Amino acid sequence: MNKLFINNYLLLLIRIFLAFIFIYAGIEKISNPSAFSDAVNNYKLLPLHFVNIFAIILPWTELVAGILLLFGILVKENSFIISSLIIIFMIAIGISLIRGLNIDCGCFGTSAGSKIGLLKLGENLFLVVLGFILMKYDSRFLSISSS
Amino acid sequence: MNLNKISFNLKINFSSVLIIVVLSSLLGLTTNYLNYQGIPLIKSERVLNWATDSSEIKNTEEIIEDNNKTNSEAKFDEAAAITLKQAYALYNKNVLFVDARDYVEYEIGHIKGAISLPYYEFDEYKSVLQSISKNTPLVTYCDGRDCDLSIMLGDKLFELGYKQVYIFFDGWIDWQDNNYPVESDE
Repeated sequence: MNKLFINNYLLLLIRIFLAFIFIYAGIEKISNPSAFSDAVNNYKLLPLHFVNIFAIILPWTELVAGILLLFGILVKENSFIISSLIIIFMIAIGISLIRGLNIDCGCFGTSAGSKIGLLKLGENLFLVVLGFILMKYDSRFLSISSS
Repeated sequence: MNLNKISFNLKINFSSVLIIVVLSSLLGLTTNYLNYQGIPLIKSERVLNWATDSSEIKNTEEIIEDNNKTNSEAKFDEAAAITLKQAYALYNKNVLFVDARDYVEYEIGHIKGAISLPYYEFDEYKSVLQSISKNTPLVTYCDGRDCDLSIMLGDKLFELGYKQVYIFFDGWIDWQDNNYPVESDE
């Protein structure tokens, strides 16, 4: 198992895949801040005072972590950030499903318009596994910071 | 949880993590400040403006007349919320009801004569609006007080230029409880 993940090409592939997903997700949210703020508010998890701050900061964290990951800068740290975010999303989606909320995911801004559901939880679980692989094995192949 | 242990095992540098998060946050706050589409730091609550006087509610013909007189000047500042009683009064005046819920929920049961315009699939269903003049008064509704779809759809229709949009905030649940006319497509 270890041998499989020590394969530089596979780790690079995972790195690029995760990076692009987060860059895309970040840009989609940044392009329409008020729609994303509504999407956050629909989860009814954050007090109204914190909704917009969260909606402003989150997409940029996604974008920056995604770009750094793409270029192979601080791969473990950025994978940690991305995995933590995904776990937060999974908790938010899980709570909303239990509460029976029928809301937009807001995962990729509002343009994709997909609803929250078990499929979303599955997608996120897959991404978080990829994040953990990168956190454990790093990926220095074709990276700017490789020495 | 012992962060040091995790960082030892995975060799993650948590000060770098902190720096990345702080810098991204500053970047976000700065661009939001400079962006003309930026949002305020504190979200303002959507305060419902209730249509207080039931005499304010006119029947379709009167509204159209009024709107013609005022030369299509907007009469409302925003979509106005109405109570069950007011909604029923409008229903009896043949005002068009718009169901903001999913199409499946609409099929199972809806207010009699209502059309379906699911907020979350607005672009897919918006063609139903083509035949509806901007002077037509509309009443939006969804399940009930726990859902925001009626408000969001109401705001959207108002933005699109519908001049008299009411939000029937009590919605489908209260309507059913009062045994008001419903129909089903099933």
